[in-house]
Amino acid sequence: MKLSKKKAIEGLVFATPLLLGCLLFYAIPFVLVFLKSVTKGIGNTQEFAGTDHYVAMFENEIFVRAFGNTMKFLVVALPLIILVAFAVALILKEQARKHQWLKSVILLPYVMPVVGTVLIIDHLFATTGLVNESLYALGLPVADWLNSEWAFIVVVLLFLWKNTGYAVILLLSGLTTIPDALYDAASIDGASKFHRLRYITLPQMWYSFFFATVFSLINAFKCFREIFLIGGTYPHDSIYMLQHFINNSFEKMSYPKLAVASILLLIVIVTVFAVFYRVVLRKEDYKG
Amino acid sequence: MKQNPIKKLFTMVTVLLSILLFTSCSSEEPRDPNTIWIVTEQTTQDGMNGQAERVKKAFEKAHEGITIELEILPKEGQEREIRLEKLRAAIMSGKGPDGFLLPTNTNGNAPLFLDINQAMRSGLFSDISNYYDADNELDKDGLENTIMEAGVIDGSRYVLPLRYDFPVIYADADLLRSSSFNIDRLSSSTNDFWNEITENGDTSWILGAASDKSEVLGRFTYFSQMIDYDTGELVDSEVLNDFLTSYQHIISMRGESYPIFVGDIVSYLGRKQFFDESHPMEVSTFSSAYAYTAIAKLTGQELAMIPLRTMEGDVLATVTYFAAVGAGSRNPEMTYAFLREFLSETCQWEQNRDTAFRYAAGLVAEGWPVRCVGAADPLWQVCKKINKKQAINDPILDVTLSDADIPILSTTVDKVRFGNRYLEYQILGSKLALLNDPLTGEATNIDISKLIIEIYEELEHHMAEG
Repeated sequence: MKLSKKKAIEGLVFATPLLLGCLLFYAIPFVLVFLKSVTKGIGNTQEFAGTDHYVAMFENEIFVRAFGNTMKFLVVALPLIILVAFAVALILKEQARKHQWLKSVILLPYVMPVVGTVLIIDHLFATTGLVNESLYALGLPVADWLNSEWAFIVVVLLFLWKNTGYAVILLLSGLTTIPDALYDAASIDGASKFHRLRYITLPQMWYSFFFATVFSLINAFKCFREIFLIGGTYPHDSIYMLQHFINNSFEKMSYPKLAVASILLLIVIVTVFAVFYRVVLRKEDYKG
Repeated sequence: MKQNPIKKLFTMVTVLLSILLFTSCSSEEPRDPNTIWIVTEQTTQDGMNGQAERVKKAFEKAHEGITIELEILPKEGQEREIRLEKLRAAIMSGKGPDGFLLPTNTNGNAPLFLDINQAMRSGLFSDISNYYDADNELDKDGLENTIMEAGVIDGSRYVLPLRYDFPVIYADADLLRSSSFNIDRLSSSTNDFWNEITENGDTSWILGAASDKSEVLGRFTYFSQMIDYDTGELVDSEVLNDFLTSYQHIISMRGESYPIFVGDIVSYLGRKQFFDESHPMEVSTFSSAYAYTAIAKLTGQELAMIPLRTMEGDVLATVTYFAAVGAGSRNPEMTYAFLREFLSETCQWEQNRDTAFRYAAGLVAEGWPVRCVGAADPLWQVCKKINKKQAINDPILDVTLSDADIPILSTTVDKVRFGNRYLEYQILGSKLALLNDPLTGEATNIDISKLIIEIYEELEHHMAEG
C-alpha cells in the first residue's frame, strides 16, 4: 500500500531527529575518520597522504596480527554462539512456558558487571586457579591459561558464557512466532523431529539468525573490556585484538593508524554482513 | 480525515527541539587567537611552574592584547587520566593547545606524549624552523648545538629542547687512581663499567656503582638507545642480553645494602659527608656536577667525573624539559615567541627565580640548561640562595664556581634522545625488577631469554602503534 504524500512527509518529520542524530554522530564522524586516514599531520601540519597509511598498515606486523586475531575470534565465536544459543532456545521453547524464570536466569551473565566477570575468570584460570588445581589433583598437565595460546580459548568461552543468554532471547522470540499448526500438520504427516527442524523451523529463522548475529557481533567487540582487564595493555599475542591496537594508538595519538584500522574493520564487517543479508533475503524470499 | 492540530504541533516542537539540541551540541566557541593556551606539568621539587608564571606575566606586559593561559595538568589519579584523554582527543582533532612546556619525567604517571620522538614524526607539533631561524635576538651561540638538534627532523625544527642530562660517574680521584681499575674500561660503556667494578672492586665501589640512582640512570640511558627512530631498528638481542646479565650481576653484588647519596648540597649540609674510603664513588647526573664540584672545592678533594657511556660507547644525553608549538595552534608565531623566552639567559639560568621557594631540593626540573656556556656560576648563586637558610654561616656559601671548575661541562655529547621515564619503566624497568630479589638483591632464576622476548614484543608494539 503506497503512502500518501502527506503521510510520507509526516513520517519523515518524525524520523528527522533520529536521522539528524545518525548524521551528526555517525555519518559526519565517519567521513572525518576517512579523511584522517588519507592525511598525515594535524592542524597546521596536515597534508594529503593518499593510500600511504593503508599500505603501511598492511606492512605493519602488529596490526596484521591484531586484525587477524579479531577476525579469528569473530569466525570462531559468532557461529558457535548462534549454534549454542539456538540449541538452548529450542530446549527453552518447550520449558519456558512452564518455567518463566529460566529466561531471567539465562540473562544473568549478560548483566553481570565486567569486573565481576574478570574476577571469576581470574579465579578459574589463573596459574593457581580452580581449573589448574583440579587438573593437578587429577594428575593432568596444567597450563598458563591466560598467558599462552590457551588464552584465546578462554576468551571464546568467556564470550559464549556472557552473551549466549542474549542471543537465546533473540532466537527464542523468533521461534515463538512460528505457528504451532505447522508442526502439528507435519507431525500428522509423519515428519520426524529432525525434519520439522530442517523444513519448518530453520527456513523461518533466517531473520532471527541475522539479528542475533548482528547483536552478537556488537557484544563481541564489547568483550574487549574483559580481555583488557585480564591481559592488560599488552596481553598474550593470541588475544591481542584490534581494539588493543586502536586503544594504544589513541594513547600515542597516532590518528592515521586509528583511522585506517577503523575503516578496514568497517569494510570487512559491512562486506560480510552485506553478503549474509543477501543470503537471508534470498532464503526469506518465499514469503513474498 | 481531519488533521489533528495537536499532533502537528507536537511534531513541530519535537523537530525544533531536536535541531536546537544537535546544533547546540555541535557548536563551539572559536578560540581567540590572542589567547595562547600552554600546557605544562605540575612541579613540586623544582621551580618551573613559578618560572612559567613569571615569564607569562612579563610576556603579557610586553605584548598588549595577548593572554597566556597556563594549564597545569593534574598531578596523578583519575583526574589526570581523564584530562589527558580529553587533551589527546583535542590534539588529534586539530584543536589542541597552542604550546607545550613539559618535562620528560612525570614521576611514574603517564605523560601527555608517550614518546616525543614519535610525536615529532607524527606531525603533532608545528614546524617552527622559520621562526627559530629568523630569531636574531636569541643568542644561539650560547646554546648546546647537539642538544638543540634533537628537536630537528629532516631539517625541520619541531621542538625546543630546554634542559638535558646524562649519567656521570663521580669519584674521589685519588682513591680511583690508587685502585686497580682499568680507567679506560670504566669509561667505555655501561656494561664494561659494571663488569669492571664487580670484577675488581670491593663492596664500597660496588655500592657506589649500583646505588638506586645509579641503576635507574644506567637503565634509563640504556633504554634511550634501544630504538632507532629513523630506521625503526631495535637494539641487538645479544647486546640486550649482555645488559640484562650485567645488571643482574651488579645488583646481586650490591645485596641488601642501600648506600647513602653524597652528591647533593642539602645532604651535605645535613651530614657533612662526602667521598671517602667507605664511599669512594657514585653515579649521578651531569646536572649535579656543580654540586659535586662545590663540595669538593670545600673539602679540598679532587674529583673524577667520567660520563657513563651507552652500550655502544656513546655519551647519550636525554632531553629532560622541552617546549613545542602544537600543530593545532591558532597563533604559532606568538606561541613560539612565548616559548623561546625559556631559552633566554634569565630563564635558563633561573635569574628570575623566587628565592622564597620552599623546596630546597634543587634547580628547575631535572637537567642542565641547554644554554650551557657560562651556566655554572649563575646557577650556583641561585642554589646558594635557595639553601641560604639551611646553609647559614656554612663555608659552602663562600665557594665560587665557574665553567672551568667543572670539566665535565665540556663533554662532547654524541647522541641525544628525548627521555621517557614512564615508557622506560613500562618496557624495561619492570622487567629488570624481576632479575633480582627486591629485598636481598639475590639473582632470581628467571629466564632472561624469555624476558628479552617480552621486551622486544613491547618495543615492537610501541613502534607499530605509535
